[in-house]
Amino acid sequence: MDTQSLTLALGDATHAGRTFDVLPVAGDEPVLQVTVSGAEETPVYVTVTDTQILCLAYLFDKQELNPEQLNDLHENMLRISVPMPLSALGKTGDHYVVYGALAPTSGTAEIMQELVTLAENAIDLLQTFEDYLA
Amino acid sequence: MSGKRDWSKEERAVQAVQMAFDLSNEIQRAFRVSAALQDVSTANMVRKVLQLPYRKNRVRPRLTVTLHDDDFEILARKYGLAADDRVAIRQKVAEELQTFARSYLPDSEK
Repeated sequence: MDTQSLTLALGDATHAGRTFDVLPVAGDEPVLQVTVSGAEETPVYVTVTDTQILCLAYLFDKQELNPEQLNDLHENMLRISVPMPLSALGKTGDHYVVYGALAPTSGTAEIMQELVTLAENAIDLLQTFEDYLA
Repeated sequence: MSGKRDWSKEERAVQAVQMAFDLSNEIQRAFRVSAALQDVSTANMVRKVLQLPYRKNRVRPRLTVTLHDDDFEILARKYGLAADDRVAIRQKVAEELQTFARSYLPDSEK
């Protein structure tokens, strides 16, 4: 699966009643911005490498957080990351993200399942961690 | 971390996603700002740039704020007024918004 075929596949697809808006983002490496219907506030960014299909949604920046509660937040993030279906929490730069990775051989159905779950998890996480925002 | 395995490609992929996110945010901001300046909705601004048809008659823009009981209490403390003196509080709110608008757009009609 590459980003081009994924763009075509998602454009016409429906999964669990959800549709997908795909916007390729210009850059050195192809990245797709996928908006899942019903979860428009948390777009998912998708990139494909030789080893994985990486799907990632942005939650908040370090600057947005109350510094005194950082340790507590990290502890909670590590704990929630394990039971959370198909997703894990992490950081890129100063951004806190929720992400899921699939094998490059995954089919469209698995990718759509990941995208829907990830976008929904991102919304839930934003509500869960609301109190940590400064 | 003892990184004997080469994850540099994955690192680059993560950076590419980061750049895509930053770029998307900048693009969104540009559309919100240009839409506001041209008195159209952001969705219509996108259609305008793409030279697609859009409804030009925008809904009359309104400036409203819904004040709840808690808000009146906060504002009363700020203005040194009684929380139940809502007329005076609303007057102060109007003045404060006007002051903001004048400093924000100093060259516009006052």
